[in-house]
Amino acid sequence: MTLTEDVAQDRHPVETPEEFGARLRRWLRSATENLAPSATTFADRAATHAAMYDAGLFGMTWPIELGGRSLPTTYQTVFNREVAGFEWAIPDSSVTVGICAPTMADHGTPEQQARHISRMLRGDEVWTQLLSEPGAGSDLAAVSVRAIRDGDDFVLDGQKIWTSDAVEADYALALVRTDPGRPRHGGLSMLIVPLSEPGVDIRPLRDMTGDAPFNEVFLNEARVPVANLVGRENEGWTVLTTMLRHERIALSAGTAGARMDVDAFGALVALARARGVLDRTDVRDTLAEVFVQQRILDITGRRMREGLESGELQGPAGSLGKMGTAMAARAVAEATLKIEGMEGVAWRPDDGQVARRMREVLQFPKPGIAGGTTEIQKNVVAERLLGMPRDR
Amino acid sequence: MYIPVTLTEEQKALRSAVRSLFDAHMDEDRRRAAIDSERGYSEDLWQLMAEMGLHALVVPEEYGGAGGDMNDLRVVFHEAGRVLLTGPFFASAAMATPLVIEAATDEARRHLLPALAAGELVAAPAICEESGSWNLDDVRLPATVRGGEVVLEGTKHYVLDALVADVLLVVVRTGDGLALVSVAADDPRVEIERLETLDLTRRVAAVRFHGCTGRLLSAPGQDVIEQLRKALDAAVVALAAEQSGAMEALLESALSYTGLRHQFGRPIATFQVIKHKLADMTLDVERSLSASSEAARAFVDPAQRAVAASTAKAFASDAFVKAATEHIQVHGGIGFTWEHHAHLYYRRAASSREILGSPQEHRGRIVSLLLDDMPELAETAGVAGV
Repeated sequence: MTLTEDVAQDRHPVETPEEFGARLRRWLRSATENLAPSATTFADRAATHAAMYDAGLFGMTWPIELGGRSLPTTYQTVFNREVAGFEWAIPDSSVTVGICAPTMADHGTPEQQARHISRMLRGDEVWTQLLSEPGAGSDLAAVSVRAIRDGDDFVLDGQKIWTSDAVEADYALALVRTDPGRPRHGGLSMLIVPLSEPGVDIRPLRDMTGDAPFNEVFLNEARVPVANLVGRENEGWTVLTTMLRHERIALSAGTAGARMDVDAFGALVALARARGVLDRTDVRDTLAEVFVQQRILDITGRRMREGLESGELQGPAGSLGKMGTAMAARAVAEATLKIEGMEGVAWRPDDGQVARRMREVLQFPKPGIAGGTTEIQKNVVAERLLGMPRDR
Repeated sequence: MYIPVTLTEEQKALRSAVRSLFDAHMDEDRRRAAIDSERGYSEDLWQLMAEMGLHALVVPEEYGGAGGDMNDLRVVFHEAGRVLLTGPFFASAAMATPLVIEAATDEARRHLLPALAAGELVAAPAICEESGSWNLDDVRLPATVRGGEVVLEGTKHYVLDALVADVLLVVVRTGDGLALVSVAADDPRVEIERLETLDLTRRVAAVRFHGCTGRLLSAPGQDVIEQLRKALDAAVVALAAEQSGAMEALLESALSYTGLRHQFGRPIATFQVIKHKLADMTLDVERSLSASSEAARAFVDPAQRAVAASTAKAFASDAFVKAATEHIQVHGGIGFTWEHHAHLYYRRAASSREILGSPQEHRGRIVSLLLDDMPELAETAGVAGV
């Protein structure tokens, strides 16, 4: 795209990473002064996010022409450090900004990028992914949602499942079958689907914790312009591969720079103290195991981030981070149950803390399933990183 | 290694020089020969390592060393671990040398470090006693200090490479606390008994002191327990690096074998169950590298050093044993034979899991350190957590 000189220039003050960090810190404090973590709504978080972006404090490392500030990745590292502890005040943008936006930057047309990316960074548009189907989970090449060409539109029919936050989302990147005549991977395309279209029916799906962060999405003659193709027609598999690489890195603990070790360990220590078991040798051993796992994941995440910055990281290495994250999630859940003991088996109805903690515990399978199961990650590591032979 | 570890250009050059040296001089045949030899290692290789400056890495420049940091040491011991280097390099360069650097007086450093850095002197650290504990609080061996001289009476156990050492560095208990003492290994009142070892590549002895005279290296009247702890943390970083290097070699070995070995008409590497074992091993190699490189980085930070070192030792110890076990398993029967190198790695893994403290002991230390040094951690978390 063509840019005039004044658009290309960063309109925010020139600042060192340290100055940037200090400004962000002041900004976060004052922006959250009158907000309480428990009373914050989705709209509050979205407003804070937009104001943070307008102040040049979010998405800084994105190119100026896509709505960022073209700053080096050091600024993102500073951002991740400073924002720790304020996660409650801003929306989780990992799907929109960590997965969908980089995929659009890699494969979107200049028009698509201009229309969407800066709005994604500002949080004006929330995005999600329409990938899994009831018959296509680990085997995404079996996707069967049909997209039939009709003039300048595709007409979509079929069902997607396990879609995160589809109720809040405005757009989705959808993997659909555009040519059933071609072999599995060959007939797929990636489309931008506006979720407000007629023919898109979203139904929440309760998970084992009792919450409903996932949805089923039914597509019933939903019309999407051909101009919404991301990448070429029938080359959706290539786009998907890029997307999954972004996803595995985004879903790896430590890549965002937060200190999971101290958080997880601190919470468990506090719990052990409250339950009076902090002096038990087996409890201390468990606490240390959690710390060690989380600490090492944080460092591994930092190495992945540095490898991305230097260009030395091989894409499939993200699968290693995701494997470790899934293991650590199980370890934290197990440790919580062990420390709670009988208190985690039954509690008074007015004890919201235990109920909340048990809901957290029951989240443990998610990191090992969502975004590709641990078994699929191991296949990726073996075949793409280690070069072991495929058997298909 | 599939996730990069940040290294300087000098460290990259050091790594490739050391790898070439060890590949040429510590292959399987030479390792077997070293195991069967009287001294347990090749003095020619020792000399080549000295010429490359490997004994001098972390010795300060003022004492004839290279003035390098723990990451230099980590890089070298990672390579030493890959080939299961035999001989007193670990005992002398990663244990005894840091003991002198941290706990000895300037005069004693001037006396010992230049020769250690040049590889002309081999020193063996004597720390453990009958209990087998690596916790310095458990050191009991009494010593009577008379001026600069010390009289020793008692036994040290599990002394690495004492039989080939010129000098023994003995941690003793005096009325003032812990002190560091040197004793000539050929003193007639020192009795060194070679023990049989699980790890065939690392020699261990029991050392009895029959009223022999040593030289006080630490300052008279000073308790050097904190300095000794720091020195042992340096050794822990080197050991964790050895463990991660050995695991990396096991992954390469397993990868190569499973690609060659055919059963049911195809390479066993095509089986998912084998792929998943190797993927797990890869994750553990990367995590051990994360842990050991972080321990090396944090070594100079007093607030982080001990936790980072214990984190590395706790993780890499268990991970190495697991890798060595799976490495045998994917080799099947051939991996169970005397001739195959698989058992040498397993023996090293099981043995270094205990040396310098077991994973459980290090985990106990981690929790104590975090709770004692960072009480605010538990306090603040308590407000939000319970």
